[in-house]
Amino acid sequence: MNHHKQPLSPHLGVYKPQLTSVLSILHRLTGLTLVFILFGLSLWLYSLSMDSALFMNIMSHLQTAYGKVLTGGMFFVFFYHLYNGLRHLMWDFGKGFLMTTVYRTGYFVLTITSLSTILILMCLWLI
Amino acid sequence: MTHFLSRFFALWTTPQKKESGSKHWVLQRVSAVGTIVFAFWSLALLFQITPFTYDSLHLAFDKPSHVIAMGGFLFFAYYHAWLGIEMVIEDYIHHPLLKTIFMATARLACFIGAFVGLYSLLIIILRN
Repeated sequence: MNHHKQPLSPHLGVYKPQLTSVLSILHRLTGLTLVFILFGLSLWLYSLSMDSALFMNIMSHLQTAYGKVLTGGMFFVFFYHLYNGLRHLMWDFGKGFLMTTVYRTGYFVLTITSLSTILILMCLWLI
Repeated sequence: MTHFLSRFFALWTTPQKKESGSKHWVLQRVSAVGTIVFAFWSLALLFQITPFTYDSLHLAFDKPSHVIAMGGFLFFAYYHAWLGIEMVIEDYIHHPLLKTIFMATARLACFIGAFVGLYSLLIIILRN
């Protein structure tokens, strides 16, 4: 390995955050978070099937204020990764690489993520 | 579309090394599509049960369509998650021993998670 560490030129401290880079890293971060959300889903299903006390415990936690914030966050993360994933699939077919298109589809993804989250939370809590 | 399909077929029939990157790439896309389909299906079904109580959920999972939707989602989502974790580990961990440990732990965690989820669904069906 290289023992004489070469200096790095400045990066995160100086590079202006842009929609492209921010959405890209957000896709990775939401992906990682979703792994833990998936484990949570398995735990929830386990409690539903074999441990009703744990199920009641989880559901009561989810109905508190912080629980609702958490639920909203989980849905936002899920929908963002889903819609941005569709954007990735669009790129895999070679479509949408024009810079204006990249920005438009990026803002579109953020919009429909927010709308989907709001819609689902309304269905969960208001109906 | 036919061009895409012919290249897809060529990819799977040419002999390649076991951990080939292009297969990983394709599997990631295929598992993504599977996850999307089963996710929307599960969400659509779960929103017919809006007050989420123990009983309403058990009633819902009585129906095979609900179980298949959730089971399919668990399978595809955990597979997609495993491929994604693999990619992230490859990007950030270069030390050979650490990399092996992380890879093995991540794979084990995904297997256990998927197994717990699918087994729970099985228990729910068998109990009802």
